[in-house]
Amino acid sequence: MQSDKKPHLSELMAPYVMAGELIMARVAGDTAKFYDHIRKAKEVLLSPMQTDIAVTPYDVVWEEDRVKLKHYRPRTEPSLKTPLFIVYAQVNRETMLDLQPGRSVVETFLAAGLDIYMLDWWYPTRKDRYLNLDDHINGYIDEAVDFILEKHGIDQLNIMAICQGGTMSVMYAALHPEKIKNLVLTVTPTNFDHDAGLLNVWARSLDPDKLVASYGNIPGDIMNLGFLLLNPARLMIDKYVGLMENIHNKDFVENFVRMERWIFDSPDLPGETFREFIQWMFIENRLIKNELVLGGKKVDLRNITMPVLNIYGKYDHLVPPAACDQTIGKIGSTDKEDLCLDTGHIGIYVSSKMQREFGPKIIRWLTERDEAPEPVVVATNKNAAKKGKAGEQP
Amino acid sequence: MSEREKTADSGQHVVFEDWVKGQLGTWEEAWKQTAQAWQAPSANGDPVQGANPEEIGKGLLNFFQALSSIAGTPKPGDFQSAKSVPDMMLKMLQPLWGYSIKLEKQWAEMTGATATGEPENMAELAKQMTKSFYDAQGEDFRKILNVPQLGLNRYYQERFNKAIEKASGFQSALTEFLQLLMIPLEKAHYGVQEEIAKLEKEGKAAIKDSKALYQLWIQKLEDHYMALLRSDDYMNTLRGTLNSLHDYRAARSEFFMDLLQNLPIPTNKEMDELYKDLYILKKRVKELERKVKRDAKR
Repeated sequence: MQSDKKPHLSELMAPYVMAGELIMARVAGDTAKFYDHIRKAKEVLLSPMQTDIAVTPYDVVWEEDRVKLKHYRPRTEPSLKTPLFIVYAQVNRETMLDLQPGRSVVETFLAAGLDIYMLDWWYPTRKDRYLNLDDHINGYIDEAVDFILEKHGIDQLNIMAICQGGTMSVMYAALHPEKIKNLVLTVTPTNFDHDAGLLNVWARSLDPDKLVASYGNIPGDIMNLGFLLLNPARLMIDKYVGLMENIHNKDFVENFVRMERWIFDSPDLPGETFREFIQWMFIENRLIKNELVLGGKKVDLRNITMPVLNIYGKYDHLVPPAACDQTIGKIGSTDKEDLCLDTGHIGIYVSSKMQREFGPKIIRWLTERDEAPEPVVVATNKNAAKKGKAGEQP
Repeated sequence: MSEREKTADSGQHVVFEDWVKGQLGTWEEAWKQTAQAWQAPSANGDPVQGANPEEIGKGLLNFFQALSSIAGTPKPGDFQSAKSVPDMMLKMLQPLWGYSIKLEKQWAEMTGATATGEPENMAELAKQMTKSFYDAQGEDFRKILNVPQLGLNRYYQERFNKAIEKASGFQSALTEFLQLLMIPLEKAHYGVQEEIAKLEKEGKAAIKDSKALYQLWIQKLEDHYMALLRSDDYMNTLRGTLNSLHDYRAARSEFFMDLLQNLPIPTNKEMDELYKDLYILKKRVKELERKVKRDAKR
């Protein structure tokens, strides 16, 4: 009979009911523990919590339009002659490098006596939608670099760059190699022609013109939704089940809230920059092929001749090793190093293990090269290099 | 314990026992129906290939029993003094369950979809419902929206109609996209059942701990999402959704432009033009500043 085959709604709903029951059972555990858990959770959630991020003091020493340059107040006499300029991505905010005391790359650097400047892209508004990659690289980054060089009366500085900020810094280093003494790249994609990460697969099928025409600037929430969809099971379910399991643990909750505050603090991305980045990087992969032109000049990776340290995460699902591991082979430097760490995209900066490995490694690497003579400087775009004179550095 | 409490206690037991029996009955019924559905020939007359339905049914039953055992023995009391998780869950689920039954009746009456016996899962059912709704809309509603407009207000009416049409198109695409995201939840559900059935078949101990069950489920869910998110089906649906979003936003913007032009408020187009002028002017000023600096250094 037809009616015998009729599926009951409860049957159709079974997967969703099961999901709810499993999550509930996982969170609740056994009954006695569950009530103890709830009682402790109440105590934690109703008590005052320390969830501020980016608390290390700094001064804004330069501003241009929306972009600001932070200078972190030194705690000791500088241990290096060369200041460090940090360039973060325009996706999310640079506060991740100073998430909390004890888990702060900035704190680690300051304790070692590094003089740190950090670029804060701030929140683009509608008037910023026409700003392109050239404006950011040959404009804001270059102007901030000039400001630091002039302030210190030096010719070169160290750059450390993160993710998309790294990609932009690679372009900058290829166009202005004479201004950089050492370059530290972290989770920096330069090769976009791979299927190792979902982000690449998706980005290649986007129509950036339509998105920019629709939105102007690309909303941070849209990008965050995309990041969440990279792994919905873990990022939208399991993560919060983990929170519920540990909700009685105040330290865990505070750390969790700090991370949530950082993750969902997402500035919009200037429309034209987004369009060029998707089209030129993800779709056409111009950078690694030396086919990119910015401000009328070819971005030739062989012009990068300063010492380069390239650090990336083995388990990075956003910028997988395949996106990073070609850089060293394509640049002109002779002093260069690849370092693949056993961690992911964010863990590299915030995990307890990486606090002991990542920051100290960069400090050692920069210190070893602080007294070194001026590296090879490229004069033209034709990969014609000349040797700098030893001892020219201030 | 007072008489009243004893009565309440006994009542709770009866309710819970009924609930458990009811649930077991539902699962048994689902097992039988699943077995029938699996044994039934497909549309082309071929027997359906796959796991033994009886084993899956047993696994399904075991799964529910495992969950019940994890939850523990029910104790009396209201929500405030509940001593057991199932007791509390029962109270929490009662109104929801009542509502879902009501919803199901309304749904079945509205669509007749469940009476066909066709949809195999919730995602499929939702897809059928929305598809029929939007298809009907496409055939009838869009025809009306596209009736040629005449007279002085023609362009305004056309833009309004276009915004409505594109909004409907976006809703349709978004619904399809969200339905696609439901599929891994259902696959994970069946994957867990199959895993339990497999363990049973191999004579291994069933998973008795809630954490292990949850881990099994979340891992299967992650695997199914990873497969889906890389599939052409997902990419095409995502692209279609984004394209329809673009069309809708563009049509909406044109419609609002008509409204704003009658008010002392600049339109998006006007603001964008202004910002572009500002951008070009600032860029020129910056270039001039650099040139002046360079010249001053010489």
